[in-house]
Amino acid sequence: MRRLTAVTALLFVVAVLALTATGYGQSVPLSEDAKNPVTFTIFTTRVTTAPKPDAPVLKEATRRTGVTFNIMTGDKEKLSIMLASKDYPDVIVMPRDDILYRYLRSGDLVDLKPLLQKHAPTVYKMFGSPVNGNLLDIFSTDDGKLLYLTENYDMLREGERHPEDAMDPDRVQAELPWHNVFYVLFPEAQDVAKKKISNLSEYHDAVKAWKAKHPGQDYYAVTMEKGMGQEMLGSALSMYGYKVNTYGGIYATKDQKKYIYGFKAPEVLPFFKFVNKLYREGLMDPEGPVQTWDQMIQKMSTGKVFSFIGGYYSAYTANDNLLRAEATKNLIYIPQKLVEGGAKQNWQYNAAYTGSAALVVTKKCKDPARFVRFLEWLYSDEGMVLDSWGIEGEDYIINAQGKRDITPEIDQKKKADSMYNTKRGIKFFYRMVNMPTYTSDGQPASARYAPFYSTKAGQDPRDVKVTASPFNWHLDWQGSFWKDYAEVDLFIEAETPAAIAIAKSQAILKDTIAQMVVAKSEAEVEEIYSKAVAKMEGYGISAWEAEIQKQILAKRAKKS
Amino acid sequence: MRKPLSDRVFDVVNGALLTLLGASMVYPFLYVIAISLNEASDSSQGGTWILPRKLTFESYKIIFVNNDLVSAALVSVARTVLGTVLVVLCSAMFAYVFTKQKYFLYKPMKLIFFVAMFLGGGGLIPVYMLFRSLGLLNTFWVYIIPWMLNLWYVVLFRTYFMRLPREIEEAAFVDGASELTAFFKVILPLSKPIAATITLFAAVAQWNSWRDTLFFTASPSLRTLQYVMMEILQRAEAERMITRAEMLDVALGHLKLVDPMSVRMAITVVTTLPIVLVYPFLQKHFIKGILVGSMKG
Repeated sequence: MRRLTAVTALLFVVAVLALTATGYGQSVPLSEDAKNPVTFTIFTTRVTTAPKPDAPVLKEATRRTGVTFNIMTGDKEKLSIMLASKDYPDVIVMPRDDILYRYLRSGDLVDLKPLLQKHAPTVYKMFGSPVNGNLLDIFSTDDGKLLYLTENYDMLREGERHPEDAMDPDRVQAELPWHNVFYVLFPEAQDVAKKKISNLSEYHDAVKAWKAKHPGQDYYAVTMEKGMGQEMLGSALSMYGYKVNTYGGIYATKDQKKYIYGFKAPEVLPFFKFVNKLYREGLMDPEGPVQTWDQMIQKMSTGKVFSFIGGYYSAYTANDNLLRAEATKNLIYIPQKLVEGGAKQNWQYNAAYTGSAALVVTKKCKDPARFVRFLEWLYSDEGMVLDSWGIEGEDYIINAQGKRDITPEIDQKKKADSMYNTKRGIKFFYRMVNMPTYTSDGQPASARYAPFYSTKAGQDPRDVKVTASPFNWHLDWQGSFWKDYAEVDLFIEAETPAAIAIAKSQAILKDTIAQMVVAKSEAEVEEIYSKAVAKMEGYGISAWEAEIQKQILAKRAKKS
Repeated sequence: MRKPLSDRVFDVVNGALLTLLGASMVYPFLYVIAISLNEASDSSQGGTWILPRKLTFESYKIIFVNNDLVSAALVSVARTVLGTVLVVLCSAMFAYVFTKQKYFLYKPMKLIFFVAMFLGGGGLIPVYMLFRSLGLLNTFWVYIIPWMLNLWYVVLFRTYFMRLPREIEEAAFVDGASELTAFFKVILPLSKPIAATITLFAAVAQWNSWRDTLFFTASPSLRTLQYVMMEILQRAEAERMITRAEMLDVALGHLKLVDPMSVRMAITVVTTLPIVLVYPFLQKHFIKGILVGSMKG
């Protein structure tokens, strides 16, 4: 009897060991996976230019994990065709709008939750962590499935803080504001305004003084382009203390209870009367309301435009052009924080934003577990560094302090060739799925935070001067971020009254703003505005507002 | 004999108006070429109208060392040449058969022809599924095989063939020529005007096509020049929302949100120049052929 028990026990131990070695009941070790090459097709609308399979970083990832990606890029229309024909690649990265929700309802997507739990515990833990907003819950379907992963949000572990913690009230902001604001040309602003511009009256005085200094015909105090209406609207709403989000159109709130279509805010009319006044006084570029973005950038790149009201996209492009020309290399557009109408707070950005794309795995994928294991590897130090930094010795170095760093030569290579990262395959996966902020040793997972960029050599020389001047704006938006997951990731089904209303209202908005700018009088601005709002109401914009509001309040109630 | 004053005034005014009209059509091309030959950073500041301010071929160098663009150009050339030759040949052959009213399949063919002409297409998704079942998706042949027969070209060819004297064809048969020999050695050589016309139509259509790349291919190696140009030009107008990763790269100067104007113009020149160069050689045939083809058969 005793012998039988011993043999049984021995057999049991042997069986367990054998099963463990084969990986049954557990995830497969990376070393095993690397011996079994697999290719996944991935289709993405997220990037227009994808790295080639032989990009060094992708090749290295293949060598380490055995996974090769056949990358296909395309338009959103292709997604509809794939959905209708059920002809899917293994993995798709698509916009998080109506098309995603059609895919979610198709039944053709793999539930990632059990796979993450089993094969990617690190990913699972981070997505489910309250520190990161518990994205597992937020993005699960009503029946508890997780059919997509998000991007554009740096994940944290317990106790970690983002190097640019959006919620830090003392945040020194390095990048241009995420929201739309008033931009002025530095150091020209210093000559005409002496101090930072903080309200519309000071702004008016500054642009007027600048134009008086530069009366020439091709000098423009303020410029715009024909499609800039929504950016100007966003700038205004922020100035008046609204929190602004965008889904289809701007929805704004002051009290987080009532959400309105941004154009209907009562402050919008006085603001556009102000812009119209700039036009009638000859301070606005007369071609502004009708010119293209290219034409506007061309003018801004000459250094003969003092200001525009809009977003970082235009500022970065113009600033880059200004730097490249000898005559303008000391000029730079900088944001100014204007607060108006008694607003106590200037809100910038909802830090709960989790990007605008979704990564899904389709049921055509023969080995979704393997793909999920790849994600787990991506979340390892090795994976993070390879994806976000590249290859040591080629894309980054280890500096004298033992930290990952960029050299001036590597920085120059990146600046000289804007396709450098794409050609090398760097940050390809960062654009597809949320990634951790730090490696396990506490170093930043992204080369953006290389020590080199804290040195003078790594900074824009113009920005160094701005920071040393009274016009240093990097501290102005401290405390302007908020975090409300209920306000993002809303969904309006296509062809519903709300969706039709917002589409038609957005079309009216674009024309209306241009018309208001060039109106002959304040009375005409008012008439144009009233007619536009009446039209929007006729199209049922209130239905869209109601739907947005309903979703936000429901999500808030669910969370509490 | 000297022209009357009124005629001379008319000639002057007419000439002036047509010159202005011509200039308004030629100027956009000159503008695009001037920008493409101007230094990129100088182009970004505007002010270049007819002649480049800082002449450089840098933008063209960027294009021609870019393997993706070279590959796209080769795909465009290959599909244009092969696609054009095949569609002209196949449409001509089909049209020739379609002129034989005594052919036993003539009536069924005519019925299918008209049904296809007026009801053909079927929509994007059925076409996509058909191509998938034929194994054409994501292959070079999706640019060639579906377009080998064009019913409008068949109409043009047929109308032209029916105007040719029957005696010429019959003389060939009397001499012992087969239908195929008569077609290639008698009919086709006499059909140069209409063949040139259709060659031009087909070449332009193949060269300019990008929607088939968009819908029916996914591999970067199958991209055409027009598709690449469409992407690059769209990037300049695309929505301005970018990812955090891209924003940070832009802030560091590692990523441009839009390609320089001069590079975009250079791509435009490279994409349109081949067709612009080919057209004058086919123009005399084009005018003759289109008139003939438009007549009722």
